[in-house]
Amino acid sequence: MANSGFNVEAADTEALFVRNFSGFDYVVAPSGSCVHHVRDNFDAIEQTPEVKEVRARTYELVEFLRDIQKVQAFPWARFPHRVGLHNSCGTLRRVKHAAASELHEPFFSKPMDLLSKVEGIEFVTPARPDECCGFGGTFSVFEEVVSTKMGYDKVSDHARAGAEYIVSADSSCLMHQQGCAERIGVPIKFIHCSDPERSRRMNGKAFLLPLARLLMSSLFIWDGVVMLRNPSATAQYFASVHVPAPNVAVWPAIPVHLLGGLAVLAGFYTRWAAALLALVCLGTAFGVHLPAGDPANMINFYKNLVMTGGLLYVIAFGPGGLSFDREAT
Amino acid sequence: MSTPPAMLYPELLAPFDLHAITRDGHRLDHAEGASKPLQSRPEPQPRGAKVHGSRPIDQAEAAARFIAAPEHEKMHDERLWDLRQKRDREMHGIAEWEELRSLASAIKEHTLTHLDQYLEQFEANARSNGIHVHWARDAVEHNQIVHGILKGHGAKSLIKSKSMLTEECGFRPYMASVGIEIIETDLGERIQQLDNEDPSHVVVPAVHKLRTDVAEVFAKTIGTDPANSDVHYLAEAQREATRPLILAADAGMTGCNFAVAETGTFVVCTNEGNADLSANVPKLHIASIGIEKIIPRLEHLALFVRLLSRSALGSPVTQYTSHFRGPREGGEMHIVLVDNGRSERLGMEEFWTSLKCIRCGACMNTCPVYRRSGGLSYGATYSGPIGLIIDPTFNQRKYSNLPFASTLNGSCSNVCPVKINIHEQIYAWRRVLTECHETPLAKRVEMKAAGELLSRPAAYRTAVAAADIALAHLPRWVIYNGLNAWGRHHEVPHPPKETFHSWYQANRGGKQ
Repeated sequence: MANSGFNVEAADTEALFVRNFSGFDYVVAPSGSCVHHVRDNFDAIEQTPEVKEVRARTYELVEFLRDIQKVQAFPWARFPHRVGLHNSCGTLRRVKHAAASELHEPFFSKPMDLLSKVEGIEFVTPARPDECCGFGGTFSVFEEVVSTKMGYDKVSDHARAGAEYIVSADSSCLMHQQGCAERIGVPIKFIHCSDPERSRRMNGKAFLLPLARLLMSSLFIWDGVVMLRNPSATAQYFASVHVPAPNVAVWPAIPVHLLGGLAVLAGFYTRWAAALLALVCLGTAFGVHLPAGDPANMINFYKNLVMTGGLLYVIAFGPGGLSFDREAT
Repeated sequence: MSTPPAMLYPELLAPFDLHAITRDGHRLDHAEGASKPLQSRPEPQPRGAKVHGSRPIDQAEAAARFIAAPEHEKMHDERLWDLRQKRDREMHGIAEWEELRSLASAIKEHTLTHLDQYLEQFEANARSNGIHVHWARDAVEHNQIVHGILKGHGAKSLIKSKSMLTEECGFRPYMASVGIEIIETDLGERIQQLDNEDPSHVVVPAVHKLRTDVAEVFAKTIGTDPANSDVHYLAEAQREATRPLILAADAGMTGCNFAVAETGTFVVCTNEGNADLSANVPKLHIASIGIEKIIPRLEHLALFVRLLSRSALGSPVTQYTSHFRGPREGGEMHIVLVDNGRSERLGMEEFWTSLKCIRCGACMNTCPVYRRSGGLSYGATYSGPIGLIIDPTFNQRKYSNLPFASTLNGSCSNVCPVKINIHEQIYAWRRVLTECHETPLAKRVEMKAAGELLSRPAAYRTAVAAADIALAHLPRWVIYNGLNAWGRHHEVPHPPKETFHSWYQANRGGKQ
């Protein structure tokens, strides 16, 4: 709105931003053009000390990671692809992410600094590294012929330079370029520059959590199979340990154990399954083993508490890799 | 020379340089020789913006027609980008480049702040050199004064070098109406004059034309072979046709790049030497000078001369840098100092620094919108980034759309040799025009609605959720309808599986 000159209309939105983010040490945004606007142009509202604080504490993500957090490495990350780096104009020239080609200044590039710490990444150089991609806010709608011509040129330039991905600290440029690339059939993928930093390396640690789920689910799956094969013996056991309505209780018990266990194994609605199984463990611990009280049962009581503890970790931290839940996101 | 830098349209690169000049077996590669050799195919020339009195110029419409002429658009884009790259090369050759820009900006700001003193000093010194000095309040007065001088000498023909100020004053149409023949001597300006079209760029007036367009114009007006679009042939034909007119002209007119207050001299920079011909062949020399062209001292001139041609064309200096100090024996020299809204602009707090402009055109060369739209799409004397910030002062209504023909990328401000904060002034103009309601109703309604929606979290989230569902499920023919301006030339964004907000709620709890 402000970029289109409608500063008055932008006032309420700017006030909302300040309300939402006041009181924080740092406000970090994955969008350089937004950060530029907040820091440099946020003047539709009265400049109270609170407003000035929020404006001064707003950072763009790359800037924050490199200059404030001083991140030195991304040891978990691997992104073996050819990448075209797009510095949006506001991020380049106003947030000063990198040296602008028009100026006589030594070369520097904060995003390149950070991204080169990601294993396997390779940068390509387009013919016009810092020409505007044409988004320009409402320009992309009100002057859409020129805007999209600039977008077509930008993505074609990167494609010709060999880029598989275009990464940027600015989602609005990415949205515009993706829309252009798809319209003219340029097969480049568009991701935010934080994505390669999050990409997981396939190393030993990646297998730990799936292994843990395998071990945790084994008991429940085995139990479920046993109960399924001999429900009457199960009902008798339930009766012997004073489970109420033993003949009926068998029927929910089987799927809870079997399917709950399989769900944890496969990482499918893992947190729900883990929660259910945790309840079963606690119920059995306090309802069956503790009342019995003899040494064998006390071992089982504590074992069930240990299992519950493990399942609580699953609820807190999720299924990990090789799971339906993770792959679906 | 090493391999040429990568191009956006490598297919435009001529396989061998058809027009290279060689000396002793070596290709000359300084100045224009350093330009990339480009080739194009014939195509009808797209014309400029449609002008209807003072109705707002529709730059977007004219730009769309330029883009719809791909040979013209690509050639224009690559040629001007080449100038920008040449400029960069020159810049890298001067270690103190950024300091030069700061100095030039400071000198101009100082001069403009004391403009009255320097103008009076200039006038006094010019007069004592024997130059007649006239003052024109506006365009009409300028034309009348020049007409008066010409009538006084019985002059019926006037040769002139390129002057954006005279374009601004509508000089040629006025002279035509009083029966005085004007002959432009700058090749690009002459092409435009013969084609009855305005210049499209402050330095290279016919850059929007392909050589086949020029061949067509010359065939109709000076009798060249319409099938021959060889550049040397056409340039030579123009020279042959124009030289007799130059030699026979009654009077000559130039513009001015810099006017030195200390000495009462003015300087004209050209690559063709046409200002020298215009000034020195006839006995009467008239110079039209905008009041912002003043610089205080001769020592300041060097700074500007170092910056001008490097910024404009990426060559270290123009072929001719001519100083005019006074009339020659038996001759007469007149200067017309023109205001035409400049002193009013000087009083505008946010926009006065646009008067620092030395008309180098670097902003046009770098502007990605200008390169793809062509200078004629702006429908004004001054196009490109500088045009966006000064044209609304000439006619706020007519040029009310121009400040929106920009992505605010800021490249223009970075190349400006006098550090005009062009993109910030574009931003400021948008605010001014919006407050004066010089914006289309549809845009005002949409912006007001956006303001309401974006400041109300619940409404915003509902709208986003609805849009995501719509994008995910509606068929193409519904989404890409006539009202969807985004969808005309882009695909719409992919709706995400979940918004950040819902992810945050699910994974970081209700912690706010």
